[in-house]
Amino acid sequence: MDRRRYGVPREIIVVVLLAGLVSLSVYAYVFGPMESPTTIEVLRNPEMHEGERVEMRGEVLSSEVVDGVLYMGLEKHGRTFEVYYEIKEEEEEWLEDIEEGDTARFLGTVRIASEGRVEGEEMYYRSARRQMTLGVLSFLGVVVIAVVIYIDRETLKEMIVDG
Amino acid sequence: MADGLTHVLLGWVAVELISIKYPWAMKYRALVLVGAILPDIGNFAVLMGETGANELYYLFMPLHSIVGSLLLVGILTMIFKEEYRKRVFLLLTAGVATHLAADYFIIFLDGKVPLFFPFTFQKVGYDLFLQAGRGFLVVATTTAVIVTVLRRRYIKRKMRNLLEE
Repeated sequence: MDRRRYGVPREIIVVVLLAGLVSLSVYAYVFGPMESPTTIEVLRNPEMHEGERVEMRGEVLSSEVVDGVLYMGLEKHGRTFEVYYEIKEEEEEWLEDIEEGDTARFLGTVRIASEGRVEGEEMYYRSARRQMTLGVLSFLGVVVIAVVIYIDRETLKEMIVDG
Repeated sequence: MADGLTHVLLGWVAVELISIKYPWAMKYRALVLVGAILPDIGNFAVLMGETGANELYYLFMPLHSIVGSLLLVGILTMIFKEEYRKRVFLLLTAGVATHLAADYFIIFLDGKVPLFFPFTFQKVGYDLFLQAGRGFLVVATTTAVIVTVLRRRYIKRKMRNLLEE
């Protein structure tokens, strides 16, 4: 058994580190804010109340920018939300080209509960095009690493614990 | 998160810079590159659809924090022989550091990086580059090329000086 200088077996160290990592995940799940995954929270609490702060992620049905204000229809699991968001100057470039089918994350305050109208404080969106770009570039990154690992395989093989 | 290629390029920059002071690092460059994409290993969850990815969010969220990523690096380090572990740990950590630093400057759909979790759930970041935008990739590529060229010139000059002596 591979032991460190102070006599702790490698397996024990791995188990302890793994337990630490799992504990972090459990802690985040139990005590994490409702910030994300927001869709689940919206489904759990389908009733929105006036003045309540909500955070949700959904598919863009329609969007229009008029005088620096974004009017957007956001759909999640059959529920439609009307979103009003005042665009900040630095956001203009990428919020103005929102397309139908994009994903948007939205943080805001409910103004009229019955119609699901929400006025925004923060807005993020991910376009389908950009998601595709992200996927392709990430794949290229993995390919580069695979090539480097292949080139250095003898060095790495020598370093890895037998068995 | 920035895209995988940007992370790998920034990892490459780190390898080049580290190897100026520690030439042996170039031999183990793959470790820095792996470290550079390590916090994103949860991305395969997208293959399970949006609901699956949402459910698994908390499982992988700690990997974008300093504590969580170091625990994962620690686990991976144990795969290697004892005499290499210190180097492996340092190189993987260097890669992870470039990843977290890069993500700090990305405009996220889910809102920044939980860098100091579990001490706080607050996410930090500076909105500079758009996620999957070309800006960060161009900056990373340019930096990687410049650093690689400069390092090679530096090594050449150093070798020449040594020969002349």
